[in-house]
Amino acid sequence: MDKVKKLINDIKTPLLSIFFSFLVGATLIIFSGKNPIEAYAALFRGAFGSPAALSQTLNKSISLIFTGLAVSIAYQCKSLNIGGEGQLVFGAFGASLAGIFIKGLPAVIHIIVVLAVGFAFGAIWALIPAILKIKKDVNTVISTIMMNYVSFSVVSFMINTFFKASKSDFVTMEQVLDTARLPYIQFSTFRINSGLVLAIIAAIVLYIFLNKTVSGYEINAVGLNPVSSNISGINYKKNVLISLLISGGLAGLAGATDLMGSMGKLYDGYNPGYGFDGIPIALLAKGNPIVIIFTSLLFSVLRVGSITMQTSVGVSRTIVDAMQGVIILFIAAEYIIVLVVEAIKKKKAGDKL
Amino acid sequence: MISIRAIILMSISTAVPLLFASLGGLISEKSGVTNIGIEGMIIFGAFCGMVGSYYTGSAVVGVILAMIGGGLLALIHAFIAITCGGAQAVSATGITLFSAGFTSYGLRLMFDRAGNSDTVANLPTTEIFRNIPVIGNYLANYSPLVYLSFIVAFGVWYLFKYTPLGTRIHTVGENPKVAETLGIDVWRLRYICVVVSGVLAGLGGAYLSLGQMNLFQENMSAGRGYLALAAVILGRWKPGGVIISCFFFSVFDALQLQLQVVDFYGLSPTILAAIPYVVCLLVLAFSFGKSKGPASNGKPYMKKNN
Repeated sequence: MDKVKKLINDIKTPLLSIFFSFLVGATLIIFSGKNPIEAYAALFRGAFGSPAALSQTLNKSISLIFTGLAVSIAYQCKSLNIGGEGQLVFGAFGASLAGIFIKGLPAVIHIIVVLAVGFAFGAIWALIPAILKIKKDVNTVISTIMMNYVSFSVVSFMINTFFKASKSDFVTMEQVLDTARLPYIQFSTFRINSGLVLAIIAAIVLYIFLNKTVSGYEINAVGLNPVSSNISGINYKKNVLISLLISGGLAGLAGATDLMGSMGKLYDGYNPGYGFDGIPIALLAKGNPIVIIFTSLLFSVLRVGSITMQTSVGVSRTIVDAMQGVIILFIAAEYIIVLVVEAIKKKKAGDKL
Repeated sequence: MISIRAIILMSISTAVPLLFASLGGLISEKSGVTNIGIEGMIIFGAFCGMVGSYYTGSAVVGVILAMIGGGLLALIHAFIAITCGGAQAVSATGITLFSAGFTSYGLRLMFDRAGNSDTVANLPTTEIFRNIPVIGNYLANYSPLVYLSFIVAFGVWYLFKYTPLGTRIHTVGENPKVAETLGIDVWRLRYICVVVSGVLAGLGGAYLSLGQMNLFQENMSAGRGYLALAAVILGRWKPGGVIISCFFFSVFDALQLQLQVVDFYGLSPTILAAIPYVVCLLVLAFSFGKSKGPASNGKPYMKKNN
């Protein structure tokens, strides 16, 4: 019974945050003179309406799980990594290089190598913010977002100057080799990318790392109380560094799997926004890697479904960006939600009397 | 040819949004509340400015609406950070993502297209200066918002240097408990400081859409809010230092704009646009000593009876 109570308590804020974000979204839809019920119906139809739609929703969640895990592990140490997008783009760039230029490997090995390179490139991109945090106490929000702009520029420069595919109308890199592609698993009309398996494995590994290993315990302890954990001999700086590097690496994997799964080649100007989606995904899950699998599904529903909402009802899909912000705000303001719940309880108690 | 004169003249105008935003950030942080949501308040201000000017035909109304818009967003942040004691970086990130999405959505609603708005009435020049001999023509070529930013800069410097209010804000940010025993209403003062920071960020946004340009562009703040916060760190939370840091970054912003104009070795605008950020990261990394903000910056202060 207590377990159920605790569970309800744990999911109360996330669920209400989502509810409020849909409410704000509905208000914005009404402002545009459209019917919110119709719009949301189109959104869910677009995300679940057919096997193809459902496959797309599941496939989109792959990168989102990775970016959600990325934000989550950094936030365990109380650093908010909002530079996932830049790390993702840099990871995709590294993966693209490894996928094009490392030749002659069997598929399984090549995939592992490309993933490793994607992880490393993402981690490198988080290194500078980590050093700034440790040495100068610079807030990671500021440093990671600046690294975003630098990442977009550097990758764009590299593609345009050195790695532009010759036979293409668009500015893009060459297609990665077939041995570096993540295969699709097909049954009847469902077409799921095998990256989903990797993402779920990553979530489980991270869960075990955080809950069952000494290093994971230390990262948690530092996040809970940097001062007292330092006294008890846990190295604050080392753990901040480790958590931010893993975070960057996971964001890099988000880019790598997107490239190896759906895209195949890296376009100039690639920045899909998954890095930012990772923030509400991680916060909604309260840092639990397993829960992140489900919260990232919510965002892939919103992202995929909003395309249908835009084409069939005419509500701009940018509304999802606004809703994302609202979710984050309500999580930050957990207190209001507690107040609302208490008010409802009181009212119910009053009704009974 | 790269013109040094053009860079100098341009760096005055690129400094303006940074000045507004960083002075706002400074006031908020001095009182003990970090406001990383300034980026969102700038973009919201830029949008509100355009909306006000579009519907009334008056750029002044636009500027006022921008201030109100920025202030309202800041009020949300203040409520979450002060009353709810919520995580300030999280709240600020929510504000920024919300503003980016909301303004893009609003733009499509108003003009049925992405990218930028129609052109609106703006405030590009200060004509009353035109008749001053010799320098009049130079002075008149800047927006009144430029001069407003200088006045605000002087005002903030004066506030913290000479006024009891400045001292009170300082005390609240360093040690709220002491401040309360001195009879200062910690929450009220923090609320005021955060809202003022939003109003100033809104002005910075208004300068982007109505001073520099005459329209709203999606994501036109382009990370300036974060540069402004870096200027606060670099300026060691001292008004004079913050103002100097703003001009330091604005020179690099002007430089990259000028390089775009002269088509510097054919480098694409996206690469040049990263110059101020690279400079900023390097300066943060190599500046001496630890950057130490107000002691209670970012820590919620819960009243005893709560």
